[in-house]
Amino acid sequence: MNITTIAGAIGAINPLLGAALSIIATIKAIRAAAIAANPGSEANFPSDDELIAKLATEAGLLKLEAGELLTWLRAQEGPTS
Amino acid sequence: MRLAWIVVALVTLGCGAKLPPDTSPEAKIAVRATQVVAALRATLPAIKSLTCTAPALTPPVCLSPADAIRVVTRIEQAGEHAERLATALQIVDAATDAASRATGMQRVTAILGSIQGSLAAAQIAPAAEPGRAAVVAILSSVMAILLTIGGVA
Repeated sequence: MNITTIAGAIGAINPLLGAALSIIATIKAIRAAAIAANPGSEANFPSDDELIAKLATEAGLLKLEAGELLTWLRAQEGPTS
Repeated sequence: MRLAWIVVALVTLGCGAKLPPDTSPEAKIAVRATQVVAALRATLPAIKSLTCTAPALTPPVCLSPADAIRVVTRIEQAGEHAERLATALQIVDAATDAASRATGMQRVTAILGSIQGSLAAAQIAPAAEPGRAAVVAILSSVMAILLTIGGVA
């Protein structure tokens, strides 16, 4: 049973969840089609250095955004407490 | 509705990244850890939207600022661990002998444990309150992605 079939079955019970699963099935189908159209694409997979650098960048952004949210939350503590 | 889209994003992140068969362990860990960090970034706007921002909105219908601060502090801590993880993975990637590679991987495993610990601490005790339950659901989804790294490390 593939994800499209599951999405259809769940959609009969819960339309929102069914729609979400259909979107995921579409994304997977597009990705599979792209790989099939360009068999050498795996050769373009990022290097280890690039993948690790991406992790460092994302981690830095997480810290930054969490810090900004903490500042905002501390400002909210006064009015609601 | 917003929560539904976040869950869709997390599921999409979780089933993405088809890696080539010869991908190194450190690259696999980097990819999965990046997914975890991206998912954690996606939780921040949700936590903000679930926080009580006016005296008229009080727990249990929303998350108290104090609870939200506790959760976000742990998420920020997970970000710090993820930065350390990137550094540790660079060391493993640059290792030229099996012994230093093994030592590096031990450090990677320890840092993954620290990230897991931060996320576990961030999860507020599940309760009937909608705000808390939503945050716990989001963090549980992130934790599920994180736990898949264990098999790689």
